[in-house]
Order: sequence, then structure tokens, then C-alpha cells
Amino acid sequence: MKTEEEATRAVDTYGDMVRRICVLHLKNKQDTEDVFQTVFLKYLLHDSPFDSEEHEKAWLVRVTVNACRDLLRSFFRKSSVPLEMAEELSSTDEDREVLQAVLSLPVKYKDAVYLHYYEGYSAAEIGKILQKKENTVYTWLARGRELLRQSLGGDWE
Amino acid sequence: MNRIQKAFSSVQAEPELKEKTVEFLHAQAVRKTGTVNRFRVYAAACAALVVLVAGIIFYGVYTTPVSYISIDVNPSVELELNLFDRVIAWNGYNDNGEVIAQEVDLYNMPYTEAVDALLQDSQMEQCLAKEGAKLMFTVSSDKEEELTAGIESCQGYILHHGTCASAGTEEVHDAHELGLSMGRYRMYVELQQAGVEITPEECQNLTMRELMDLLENAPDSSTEETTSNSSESSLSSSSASSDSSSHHGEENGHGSGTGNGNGTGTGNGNGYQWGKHSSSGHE
Repeated sequence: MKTEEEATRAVDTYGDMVRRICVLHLKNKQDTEDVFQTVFLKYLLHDSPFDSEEHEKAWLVRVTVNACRDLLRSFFRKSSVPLEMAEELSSTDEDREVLQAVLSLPVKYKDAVYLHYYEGYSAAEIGKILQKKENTVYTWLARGRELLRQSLGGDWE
Repeated sequence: MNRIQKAFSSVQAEPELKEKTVEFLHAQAVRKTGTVNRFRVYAAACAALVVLVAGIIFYGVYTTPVSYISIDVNPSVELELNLFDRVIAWNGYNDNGEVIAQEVDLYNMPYTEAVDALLQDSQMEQCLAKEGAKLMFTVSSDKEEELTAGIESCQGYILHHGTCASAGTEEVHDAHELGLSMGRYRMYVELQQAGVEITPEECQNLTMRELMDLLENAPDSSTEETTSNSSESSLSSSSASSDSSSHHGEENGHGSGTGNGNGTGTGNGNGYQWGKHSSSGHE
């Protein structure tokens, strides 16, 4: 078990990242709060030390993605798309448009796109984090890119 | 910065969300710590219980008398020993004995030290200094041989030419019922058998020398022989004096020679074991 201070530091350091992954999957604040608590409680109870900050960060990404999926799996929310969240969260029309486009992607593409374009992970790293083959991640990224190009235009990158 | 980075950078965890999460973690941490503490409390309580039970058992064993040593001159004092041969109680069995018992503190002493401490008491020394004073020890114990050997190695025993006898647990009980020490009870029974009219109360305050004189001058002389004889069959004693073994041997030799036939019955009736040394010497 980690100390309370370590868990608080993790909330400060990785809170924004966890929030963004929640945005990709969840519709409302209550669900986000639930996932937040689940993720950081798991962190608090995690016994073995992390090799590095990168290891710690990748662990939190995987736990957050799984927590979001578990939450959605347990309720009648599979079909819900958190589009309205984009309006609440973005300050400019351009940002809102991009967020809405990403959130509209099929679930399996959203994580790969976010992790690649925002967090800067390579396809191989994403494959490790999400426990998928690297080629699968490449396919998701290619399809996601294509869908984004369709909705945002050719120069979205 | 690509457009996705720009769009997502505006998404941040609200301060309230972080605060709520930190509070939640704090509550969970306290609960977990509490669980750990409860476990520790239970473990400590179990350990304390084990120590307590062990302590009670040890105390019970330590304070249970398993051996008795009666020391009789005129003062009669009886020591109660625990499993570790340490004195846990000492009682005076006549007026002089009670006075001495109140004066000395023998608690927790090894019995050999306690014997010497008693014999060095000023009143006890005065009694022992009288002419013809007789110092008699009577032991009742499962490890009678060991205790007898210990007593015989005591300075006081050697100095005052003590004798040592043994008795069974039933005799201890009978003696205490009559308010007598084991040594006096033994003399009381022998006097009765010799036809001497004496009450336990009278027996209580006569000196051992006086009791022995009474026994020697008993009206039924054959009884005396019987008594000596009975020493051979079931009673035996040993003496500490340097010439005691030969002297004692003569006495016992006489007894066995003259009264073997009629002595056995009364001797067995006594139920005493007068030490092993002289009895084995006979054989």
C-alpha cells in the first residue's frame, strides 16, 4: 500500500490525464468522479513499486481505460456518446469541433488516437498499454485518422 | 502542437474533483490503517492472553507444595517446598516453633539455605545447645532421596548431629490433622504403640529428647525392641554424626536380632520409612 502523500501527488500529477481519458468514454461528472476514485484507490492500494515515472503513467492509463470500460459495461450506457461534454469543456469553436470529432470515433479508435496524438505514445507503446498487437494499433490509428479527416477536413493534423 | 493536443489541453481535472478524490483516499487510508491497527490489537491481545495463562499456570505450579520437611528439636517448624525445591511456606507446630516461624523469612529460599537459616536462629540455637538435644528431620516427598542428601549436607545438620527420616503423604495429612509436625507425629505414634499414655497436645511441647526418653523408658520393654525391630522392617533412619553410621548400625543390629518375630506387625502398621541408609545397611 502506498502512502496517502504519494496518492495525493499522483492525483495532482495525473489528474488531468485521467480526466481526459474519462472524457473519451464517459458522459457525466458522476461517472467521472467514480472512475477517479476507483483509479486512485487502486493506486493507493498498489503494493509493488513502479520502475519509473513512465511506468507509473502507463499503469494509470491502462487502469483508467479499464475502469471506464468496466463502468460502461455495468450500465445501459453503451450507446451513449459523450458529445455534450465537448461543449462544456472546450473554450473555442475550433477546439469544440476537434473534441466532438474525436469523441465521435468508435471506442477502440478513441483511446489510440488520444494516446498517440495527445500523449505522444508510439503504436508499439499503445499496444503494450492496451495489451493489443502493434499492428492492430496501427490499423486503429489509420482508421481513426481517416474518420477525422472526413469530419475535420484534410488539414486537421 | 497539433489540433488534438490543443483541443484536449483545455480539458483538465476540476479542483473540486481532485479535492473530493483526495478526501476519499484519506478516508480509505484511515480505514485501511484502522484495519491494520485492529489486527495488531487482536494479535497483542492474544499474546497477552497467552502470557497471562502461562503466568497463571506457572504461578499455580510455583505455589503448590509438593515436598515437606519437618525440623524438630523442641521447636517444631515445617517447610513446604514447591516443585523447584524452594520454600513457599513455613509453619511452627508448637509454641517455640511458631515464635521462630514468625521471626524468620524463608520465602523462595532453596531448602538447604532455609534449613541452615532456621538452625542459626538464636532461639533454635539455644534449644540445640541444651545437653542431649535431639535434632530430627522428617521428609515427605517424591524425591525424598535427593532432599535427604541435601539436608545431610547442611552445616547445621552436621554440626548438631541431626537424623533424617521420611514419611508418606498420608502421614503428613494425619500429622497436620492432629496439629503435629511430621517428626512429632512419628514419635506420638511410636509412644502409643509402646503403651505410653500421651496426648497430641502433650507431645507438641515436649522436646524431642524428652520424647525419646519416654520411648526408651516405656513400660512395655518388648515394645521398645519391637520399635527398634520395626525400624528394620519398615522404619529406618540415618544420623549425621561422624560415627553415626557404625553406632546406628549397632542399634539396628540389636533390634533385628532380638525382635524380628513380633516386631514386623507393629512396624508395618506405622507405615514409616526411617531413611534408607541404615535399612540397606542391615541387609
